[in-house]
Amino acid sequence: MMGYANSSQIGSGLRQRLYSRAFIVGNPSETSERLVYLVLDTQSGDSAIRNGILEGLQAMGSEYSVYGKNNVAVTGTHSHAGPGAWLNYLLPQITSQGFDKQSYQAIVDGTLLSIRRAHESLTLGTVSAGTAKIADANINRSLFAYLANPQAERDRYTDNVDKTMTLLKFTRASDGKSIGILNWFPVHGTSLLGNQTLIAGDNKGVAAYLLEKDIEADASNSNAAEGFVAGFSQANVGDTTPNVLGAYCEDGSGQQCRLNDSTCGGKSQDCHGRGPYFGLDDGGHRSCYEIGRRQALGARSIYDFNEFTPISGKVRSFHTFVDFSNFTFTLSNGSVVHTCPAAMGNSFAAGTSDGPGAFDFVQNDPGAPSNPFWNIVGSAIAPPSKEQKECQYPKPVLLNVGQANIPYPWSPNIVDIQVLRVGQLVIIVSPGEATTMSGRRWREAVHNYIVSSNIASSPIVVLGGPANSYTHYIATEEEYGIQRYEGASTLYGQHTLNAYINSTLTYLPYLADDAASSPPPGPSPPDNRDKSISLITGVVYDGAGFGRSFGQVTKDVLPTYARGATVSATFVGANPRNNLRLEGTFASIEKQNSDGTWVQVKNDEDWELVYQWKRVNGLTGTSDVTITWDTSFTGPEAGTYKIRYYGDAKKVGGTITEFEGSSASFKLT
Amino acid sequence: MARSHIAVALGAALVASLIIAQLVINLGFPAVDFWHGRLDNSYNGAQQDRFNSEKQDGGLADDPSSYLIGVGKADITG
Repeated sequence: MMGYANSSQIGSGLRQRLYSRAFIVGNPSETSERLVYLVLDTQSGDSAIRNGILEGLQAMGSEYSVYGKNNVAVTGTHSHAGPGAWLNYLLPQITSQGFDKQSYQAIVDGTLLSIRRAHESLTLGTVSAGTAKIADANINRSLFAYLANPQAERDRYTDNVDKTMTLLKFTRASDGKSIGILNWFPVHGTSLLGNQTLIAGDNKGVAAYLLEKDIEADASNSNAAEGFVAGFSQANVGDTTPNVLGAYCEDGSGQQCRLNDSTCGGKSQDCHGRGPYFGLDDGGHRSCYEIGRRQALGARSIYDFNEFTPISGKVRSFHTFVDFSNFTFTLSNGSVVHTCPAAMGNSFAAGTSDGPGAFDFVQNDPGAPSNPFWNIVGSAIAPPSKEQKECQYPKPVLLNVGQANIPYPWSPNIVDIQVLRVGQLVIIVSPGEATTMSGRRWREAVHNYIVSSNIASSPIVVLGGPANSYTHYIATEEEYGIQRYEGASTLYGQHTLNAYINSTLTYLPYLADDAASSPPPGPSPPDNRDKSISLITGVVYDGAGFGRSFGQVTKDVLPTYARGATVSATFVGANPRNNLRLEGTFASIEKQNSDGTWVQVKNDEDWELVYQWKRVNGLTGTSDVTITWDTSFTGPEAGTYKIRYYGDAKKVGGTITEFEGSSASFKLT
Repeated sequence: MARSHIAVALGAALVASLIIAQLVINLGFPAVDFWHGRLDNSYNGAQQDRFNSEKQDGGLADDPSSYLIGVGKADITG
């Protein structure tokens, strides 16, 4: 799985399907003025995925030629509970055993389908913006680093994370109904913990699911169109956490972790953030649902009650690549500085209170003395030169990834610079995880430039990401000096944030009303898709076991359950990778109508219906599938139900055959 | 009696002819270029034609706060 960099976190089933949500805005009078903002339930955007999407759009014919590198933004919700093995560079591939074409293709194909659906639904309408404060869905997990920012700057803000959700409403002209919303709010997708192995979209996946279901169930009162889409995009997420009760030592002491380095007794491993439902042995799924629910409620409150600001003006966008391995520029104080080849510091390996790392690493170790053992490990990859060490100072270089190119590049040195504009709305598309204060500085710089250059008046500036390439973190210089996890994962040295801001401002004139060209494309980053290692083996075959058949129930439901109970059944299963059942389902709940017919009421899109697969015997190829329905979430009606399993089995020769299984019926009282 | 049968039959034939004529017009059996027109129309052309006509009419398309908007969602579970 992708997010916690934990190779032992291997997916074992599905709590929630993942989606790409596409939002297109265009000038009705000029076909070339369009943009596509994509929100994927993935850990981030990525160069491999973006390349696949852009190639796919080209292959879709002339009608789609309007969509390209300048106006397509690929953002991820930053879920840490999705599949891995689809990223372009080696470093994030290592813990997910390389690059898996099936996983990659599912993301690319689904994203293209979402764009096609958005394109085919194009209609005249309006875009409007509203905001609301969501007080209880995020806190700062690196407060000690945040406090290193100047007091005067911190005093300008009431909170140490951004708590304002900015929401766009898309309203079609034909009947005044809303076709969707898109919002930005920063909170890490780490509600689901690193010890759980079910695929899900984490808290933003929950938020989107809940709002779409809520609107669908009440479409007429919501004044919403059929097929309403809710995009919950990530923002300046870097130092935020959904574990809003704080970080505590799980060593029996009950103490809070040490502020400066998030340790307990000098070690990182026992320090864990606590979500709102801390204490349940559930992998964090109740807390995840709650943080998602709070975001959905916030979005709904804006949707229902907020006074919206109409968006008006030109549609513009640009994209270019800039090489940050040695990007030289002038700071506002006149000094000339430069960035460095990408590198990870020691504290990267310490992890965070959302997911502590291993070994003896801790956060906050600027200028740490050399550790001979880890120096040997680091040098085996690419020993950092004296210049690189000086450039990255005070970060002690653990992994010199920007200069590691064997067998192919480990991390990006060439970064995406992209900004989108719809009227007075300006979207900074950030490839990295900007911290709270980094996001504020970046947005403010763009805001001031947009105003001073008369590109738009009263601009609304938002930041979305991580997007396009994944370039890890973007901390302020002051936070970089502290070298907690976010500073240690800021790849290009202490001037990384200012380099992003400088590059962004350089190209902002391309957003002006009278801009008629695009910036030069910049250097091309490496495309590692065809050279990436894959250690993930394919499905060899499935066996049902002697005297058994696929889909047969091996552990059936009880005849009766009280509402609120958890219902489950186990079947003779087969490997789900034989068929991902995209746009379909592995599991469903069917309800019996009064005339005796059955209708599907839940499927594996639904949070409360969990599909789990377990290989029982690798030699015989046998496996179990357990489908579990937690009826406490949505209060289903009393009635007669059954569980259905949809699978696909692979024979020794490679033939894949569909099958189904069904539990006995049961009553919910 | 016979005369009324003939009248009913002629009336039915007339209605049937009109229906068939309407079907032919709607389904577009005749010219190849007519087929192409329909195919384009059924895909993206219908939308574009509508926007173009609104643009020519000085309607919503000329309003700076009027946009083409579209949303889509698809499964990416890999």
